[in-house]
Amino acid sequence: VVLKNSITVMESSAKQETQPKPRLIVRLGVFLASHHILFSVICCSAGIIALLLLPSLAKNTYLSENALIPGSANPLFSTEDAIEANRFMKGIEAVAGDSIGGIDMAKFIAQQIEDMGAEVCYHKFLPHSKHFHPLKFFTSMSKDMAIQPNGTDTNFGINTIGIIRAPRGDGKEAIVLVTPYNSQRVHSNELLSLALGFSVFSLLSRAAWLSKDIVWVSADSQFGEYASVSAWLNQYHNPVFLSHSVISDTKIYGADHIYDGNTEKGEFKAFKRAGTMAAALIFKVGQTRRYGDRDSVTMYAEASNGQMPNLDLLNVVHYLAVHRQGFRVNIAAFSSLLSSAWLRVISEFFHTLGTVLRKINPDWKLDIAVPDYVEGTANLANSIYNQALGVPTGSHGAFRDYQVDAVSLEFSPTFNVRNENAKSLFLLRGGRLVEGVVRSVNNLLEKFHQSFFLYFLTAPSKFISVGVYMIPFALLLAPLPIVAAALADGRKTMEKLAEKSIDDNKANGSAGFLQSKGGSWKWLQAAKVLFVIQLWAVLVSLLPYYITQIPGATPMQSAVIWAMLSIVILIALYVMFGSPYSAGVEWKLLKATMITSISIGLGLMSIINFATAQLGALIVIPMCLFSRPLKARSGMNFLPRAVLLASNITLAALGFPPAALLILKGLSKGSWTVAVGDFWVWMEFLWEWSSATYLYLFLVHLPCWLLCIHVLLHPCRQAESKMKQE
Amino acid sequence: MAIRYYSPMVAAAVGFRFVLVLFGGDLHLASRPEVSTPLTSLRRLAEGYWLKQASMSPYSGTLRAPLLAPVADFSLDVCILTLQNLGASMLIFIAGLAPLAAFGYVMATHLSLYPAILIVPVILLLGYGPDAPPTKLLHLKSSSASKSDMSEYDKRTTLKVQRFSWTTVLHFIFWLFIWSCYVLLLSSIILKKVGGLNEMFEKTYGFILTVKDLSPNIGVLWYFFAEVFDFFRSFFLIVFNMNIIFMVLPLAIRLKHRPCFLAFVYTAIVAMLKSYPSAGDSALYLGLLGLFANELAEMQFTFFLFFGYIGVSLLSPVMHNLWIWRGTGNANFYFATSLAYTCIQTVLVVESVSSMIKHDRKLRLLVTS
Repeated sequence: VVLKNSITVMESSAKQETQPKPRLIVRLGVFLASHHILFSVICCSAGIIALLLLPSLAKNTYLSENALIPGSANPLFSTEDAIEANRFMKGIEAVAGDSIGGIDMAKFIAQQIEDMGAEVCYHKFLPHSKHFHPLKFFTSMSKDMAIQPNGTDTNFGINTIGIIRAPRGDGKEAIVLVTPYNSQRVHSNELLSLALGFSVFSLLSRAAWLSKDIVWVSADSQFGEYASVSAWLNQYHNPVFLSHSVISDTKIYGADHIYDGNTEKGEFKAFKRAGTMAAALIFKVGQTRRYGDRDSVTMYAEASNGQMPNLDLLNVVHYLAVHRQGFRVNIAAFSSLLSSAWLRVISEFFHTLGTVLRKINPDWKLDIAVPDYVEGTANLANSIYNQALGVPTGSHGAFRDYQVDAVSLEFSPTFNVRNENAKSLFLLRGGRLVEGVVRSVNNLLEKFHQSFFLYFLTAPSKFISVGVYMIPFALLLAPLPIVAAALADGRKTMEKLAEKSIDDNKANGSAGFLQSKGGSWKWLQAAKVLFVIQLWAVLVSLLPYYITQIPGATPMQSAVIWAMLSIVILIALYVMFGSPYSAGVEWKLLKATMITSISIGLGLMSIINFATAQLGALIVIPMCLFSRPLKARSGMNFLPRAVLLASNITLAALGFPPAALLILKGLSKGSWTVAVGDFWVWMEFLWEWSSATYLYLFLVHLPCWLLCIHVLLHPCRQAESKMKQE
Repeated sequence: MAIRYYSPMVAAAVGFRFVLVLFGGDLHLASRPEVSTPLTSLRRLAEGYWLKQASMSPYSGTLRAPLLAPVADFSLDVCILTLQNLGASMLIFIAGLAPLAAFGYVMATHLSLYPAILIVPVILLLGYGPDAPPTKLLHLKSSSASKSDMSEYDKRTTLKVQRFSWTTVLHFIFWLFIWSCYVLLLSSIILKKVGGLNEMFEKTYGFILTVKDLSPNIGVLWYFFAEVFDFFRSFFLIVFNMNIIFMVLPLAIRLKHRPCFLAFVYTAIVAMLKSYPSAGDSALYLGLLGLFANELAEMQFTFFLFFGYIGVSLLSPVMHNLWIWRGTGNANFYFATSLAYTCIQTVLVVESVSSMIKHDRKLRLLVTS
């Protein structure tokens, strides 16, 4: 029906072709396109201002899910449980003293769990081998097969898993508690976190109100906290069905004596599962601090590729920690920003602006206090940085890969570990916090879904939701289609003029319209250039996988090999498909194509990992919008032209990914020296974690930069020859 | 006009397929909603095949593709897609030979039902010959030419003005009848002990028309029928199915002098409005688009359309991932891409038809001036 209507509309409009009357939206588009420079300047600066305003736009968090009702029940965790924890700690300290390879500790924990009457099993795993999964993002994380240790491995970790079956539940849901500890190098604070975990677990084993199973994982973090939890989750979600003979073959060398002494413990070997995980809480006791008035808790929430747990989980933790147990709650921040002078200037400017605005309308609450703004910015910058990196900040990241909401808590007590009284008090409060969170999650009837998944934190109790943080990005992205349309359209009008003159010469010849064929398809040449460069980018992004196969290459050598190979591939592609300038592509079309491709790329990336797209947009968009051939003629004076040239070159230099990385490092860490090999190490770091940022850098950023260089170096011969013809 | 770079392009296309077969494991093409619909899914085909082997009705499982089960043993879903499209494209390209055209038509209709509406362009093609400017125009031209002196080119065009040749069309209909009887006979022999033709019609064409499977795909119907109240379902089924039928006649009248272009428009509309569309459907009409390179040279918004197609095809897997695997999105995210895809297709159809009509008008202006 639409089509029929449109056909009739077209027919009627065709009759009026002699005096076309464009629709309002078309006229609006033409208006914007004709003022595209002004429009892009306004949009970009508005975008950057909106980005700086974000800390003042942050809202206080609130609990969305009514079922959680945190803190409504009195905590049951008593001093007796704290004494129990102390007893456990003494025991495990004794075991850890004469332990070989950490196996005795696992054995001790298992024994304690068994004595309590809960189910227990071991999980053996190997260190995570380096895998290159560039497309892992698009496939499910859970499709990997669990890697089973085989007989030849001596280097393996053992997780000890205790499971409480809920007296009131149907065994379909579970809550996971994780306490990481390094079985090879035992620290007293790690033992304290194990003790805390054990005492909470033993309390929960007696709780009558439990309706979800409780799983306590004491994760052996000798290969990193993430590796142990991720290996356990992988096996939890991917059952391996092996025949009996295979199982008996895959005994771990050195682990046998766990089972040897006691035949009934053979059942520990069978992997045990509880229900679907509703939430996970990872807690550990960090180094004690000498200063500070209160014990503090630091929350870590960023999972892989900028995914966050549901905000409600953080709210529950924050509410219980601050309002019930009197902890100070922190989130990680860029400490260098806290003392930065220019940030202070900006915050004072916004503060005065906010007070003025507030006088105009009391509802505009933008006048955030200067220290709050600075702290908010430092937290926000860290939040954006961690999300943009795409690498999880702890073992909670492993849970998010299986759509389980998880948060890591790191306690920083202010007492001396030897001080028994302070330790008991700390255990009491920590235990009550964990118990309270478990109790809240236990109340849940559905998966976490009420609150936000997409947000940035500016303080433990302040957040910026997706609706707000999209605004700066959208403002930055808005000029791109307009400029692309303006470039394409400007070229068209020029051509029309040229055609008119040709038509006049040929005087209505029948060949007149046939010659103009392909008029609206001219961008195909530019699209071909884009295609060649994208192909190059794909090949180049796959290269590191093959380069790592070279044995014994240092990072520096690998980086140099990679750079050489990518240049060779680029030249080879140009030989195969023709160089971009030989086809005579106009630079305006090339720029329009570049801008369109970058807007698609950034738009996609903003869905995959918003923070990466936001940071990328800040670098790429000015570079794209400014780009213009160095040789292009313009009616400008010397000074503006020199400024334009200089800004072009600086932006192009900034846009080169290694340069951007260097600046990022300089801003975050304050050191500006870097070796060539470091770039390789960064790259490897990104792809080891299957970060989508790696894909962004290679498939969006790098080709865009290369196209930009092509535009800058465009010879502009065609335009000149055309002008001569005229 | 000879096609430039024909063999390298074919080689590149074949090479790309091979790359997909060899390294496509990570992409899970067999379970991607863009490629694998209920009608083209290899898993369902395999299920039907094994049920048939076990002397059960192949349709008692989830198989919905009409009767490929006895013959097919393929390695990629794409194969089924290719087969379904092959029928349609065969139909259009070999329309010169009535028996082969009839075979293509019967196979295409048997496999995916919607090519049935291509009967209109095929009959026009057989009756009038391939795409040409409007006959009225040629009459005008010949009449004006008779006044002035006729050039060589004009002579040839006047010769080409043909009457509708009923014999070819009758020939085609005769073969159509023979082939459909033959296909139905074969199907009934295969299904004799396990269900019979009735079940086949019900479980295949019935399944296509009543949109029973609401698993997400790149079309818009799954979302609509998941949302619609049950007592309105039949009404909207009629509306959506009639939507395609409604467009057949007006378009046929307007574009009867260009049967190939008419077939292109039909396939594009079907790809937009069919119940279980896949990327293969757009591949068919986008491939046909190349036939009209000269006529559509002045088409508008080509830049926008090109990047729109690229953007949507990249966006769709990301949105699907966000909804299904990461759980931070919902069905609306994926449906938004479907909607954008349909919009782009609509713009393509509208723009191509309007520029084709403009092209014809330009021809007329040239002839009459």
